[in-house]
Amino acid sequence: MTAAEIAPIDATPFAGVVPWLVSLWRKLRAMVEVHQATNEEQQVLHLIEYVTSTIGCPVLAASDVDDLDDRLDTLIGSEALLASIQYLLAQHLTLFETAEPPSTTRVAAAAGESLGAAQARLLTEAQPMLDAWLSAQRQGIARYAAEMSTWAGRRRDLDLASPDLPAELAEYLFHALRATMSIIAISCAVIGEQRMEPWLARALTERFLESARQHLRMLASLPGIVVDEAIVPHAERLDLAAIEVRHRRARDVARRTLEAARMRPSS
Amino acid sequence: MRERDIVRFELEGKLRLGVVIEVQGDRVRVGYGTTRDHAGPCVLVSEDSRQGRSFPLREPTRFYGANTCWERASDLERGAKPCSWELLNAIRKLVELHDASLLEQHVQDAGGVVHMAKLVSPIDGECQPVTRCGRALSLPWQLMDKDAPPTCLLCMAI
Repeated sequence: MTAAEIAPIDATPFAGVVPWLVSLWRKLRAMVEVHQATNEEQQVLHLIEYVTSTIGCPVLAASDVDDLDDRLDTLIGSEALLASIQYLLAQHLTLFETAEPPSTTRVAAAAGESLGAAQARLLTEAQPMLDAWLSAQRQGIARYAAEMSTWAGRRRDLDLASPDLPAELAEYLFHALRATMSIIAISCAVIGEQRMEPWLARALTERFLESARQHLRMLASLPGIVVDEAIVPHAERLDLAAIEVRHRRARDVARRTLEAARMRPSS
Repeated sequence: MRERDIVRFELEGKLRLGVVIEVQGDRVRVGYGTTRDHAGPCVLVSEDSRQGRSFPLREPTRFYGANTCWERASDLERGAKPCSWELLNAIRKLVELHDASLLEQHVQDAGGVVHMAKLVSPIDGECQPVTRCGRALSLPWQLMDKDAPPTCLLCMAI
């Protein structure tokens, strides 16, 4: 994948549906309880519970900060898990769009019980950035809705470790995925009415906010996504064309050094 | 063997610890660490950090963009678990920046002859042009626009 081929569809893991998870889960849970849910709605409810527990439970079981980072790294590296969840969620995009639109205020209120007051306050303080992050993802979905409609039929091939992916983009995609994993873990705690230990709440909130901020930098650099200059100054946005040129040059050198290594006699 | 693996191997008689940044068949490109502190951008990993413990390192270790090599997979000893995504990305960024700077450029030597040269960053971090005709230019040299055609006949002939 080249820098030019990076589109919001790739830059927005799980089609940006993650911020909808808790509100849609609440809505569907209520419908199931009064036996008003359709088959699709029941499927999506199970899907949300599957996604939040498959990703959230291992994260919430971390024993310390290093263990938390190891667990997040493992989930981010699990291509099969990410691809299958991405595939399943993409099939139900329209249902997600019927859910209550996400807002930072609602996320902070919902997460307050699980994260504690101090971390909920951090989320509230980061509201301008988080609102821009949510908006950028909504813009990405709206702009690329047609492309996404064909998305469910094929597995996305996004290997963060691939040398064919420019290293700078790999870094931002890492943050996109870590922000997603972190908010899913927080959602898992909210859905399970689980109160996190203070160190875990702090570490997860910090990772979520830092990665959301970095993810937003990448989203703000993509054509067609508008982000306020006050939130992501133009000087902080990525020059995708320059990244691509640099990457092509570097790949050329890598190929030449590989050829040279192959021509060296074995020792 | 795959990208992000931690490996141990021998390079020019020294035991090295590194991170796999690319796999091409039986050849593996490794970004390896050094305990020596040189000028230039690097990733510093301390021995008591999460990453340092996973190698494991015995002292602070630096990863430079220039410190890579292609090795046979069979010559590498793989570590128990991969390195963090953050370390892999940081090393890959330095390597890409370094590699991209190695493409040939038009460089004029002290005598006014324009060569095709690669700007090599030696270990101390200073750029030094190595010409296509095989000369290492000493100062004063200067970078020229691509519009300035090479005047070194050897560079043009090669």
